[in-house]
Amino acid sequence: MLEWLAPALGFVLLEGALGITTKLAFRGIDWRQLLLWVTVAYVLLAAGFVAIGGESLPLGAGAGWAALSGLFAAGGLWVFFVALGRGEASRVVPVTAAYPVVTVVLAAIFLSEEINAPTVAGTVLVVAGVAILSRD
Amino acid sequence: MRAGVRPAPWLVPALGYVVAVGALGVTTKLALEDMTWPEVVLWTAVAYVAIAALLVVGGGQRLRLGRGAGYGALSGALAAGALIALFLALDAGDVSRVVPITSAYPVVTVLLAAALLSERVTTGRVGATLLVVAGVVLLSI
Repeated sequence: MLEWLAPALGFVLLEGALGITTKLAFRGIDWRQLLLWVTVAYVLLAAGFVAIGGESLPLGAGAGWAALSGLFAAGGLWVFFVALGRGEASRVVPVTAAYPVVTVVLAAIFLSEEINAPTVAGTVLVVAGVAILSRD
Repeated sequence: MRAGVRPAPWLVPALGYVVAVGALGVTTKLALEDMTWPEVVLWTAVAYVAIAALLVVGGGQRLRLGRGAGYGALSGALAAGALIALFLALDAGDVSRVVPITSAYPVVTVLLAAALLSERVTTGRVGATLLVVAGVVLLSI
């Protein structure tokens, strides 16, 4: 069994539900308030890791990439909330699923992973789907 | 630009998400070469606290407990849980295999949007979503 598959499918369910709870939250609060609530969740989680798991904030090798990952995660969720505040979940969320195109290109540049013919064909399909969804 | 071809107002932030989360897969994989996923979660918490501090100090925001707060808290829990699941998957597998699988999440959203938000799920919308997912599957080959 692929040990990465279960958490990957867990991400699919949680991220898929996130689009809906975000739209429901927007009936009472805006994206700024929502970011504060996400911060509360992360602080509680981090406090649990520190108190129970004995984790500490590492400053050595990898810390720069980890800090950059944190910024991308937080910045990504910020614009995700802004987009969902402006459009329907069933249109906005499928467009956001195009992010593997960026990952594949950056993985080729920074991790020396290969770009082949299926990669190009897949990118064309993703862009076509995004174009259809984004027609207003 | 003619009004008929003006991009939807949500498109620019949605594409901003695509770039940020697309880069996140690579930077997380690079970070995981030297640290564990809980340590990456700690750094993510630091980034959120910095942005929240800007919103509180610069924007005068306060955490309100009224209408929408319950779904706000649930969204926070889902976002944190999803990121942990992503870190676990990236820690165990290649980024070029893990990330395409994770992009199937719009299927869940489209189904729940029809059931819970009464959004119209048109044939075109379903077809376009399947195009995106099919393209992402090709990317994983």
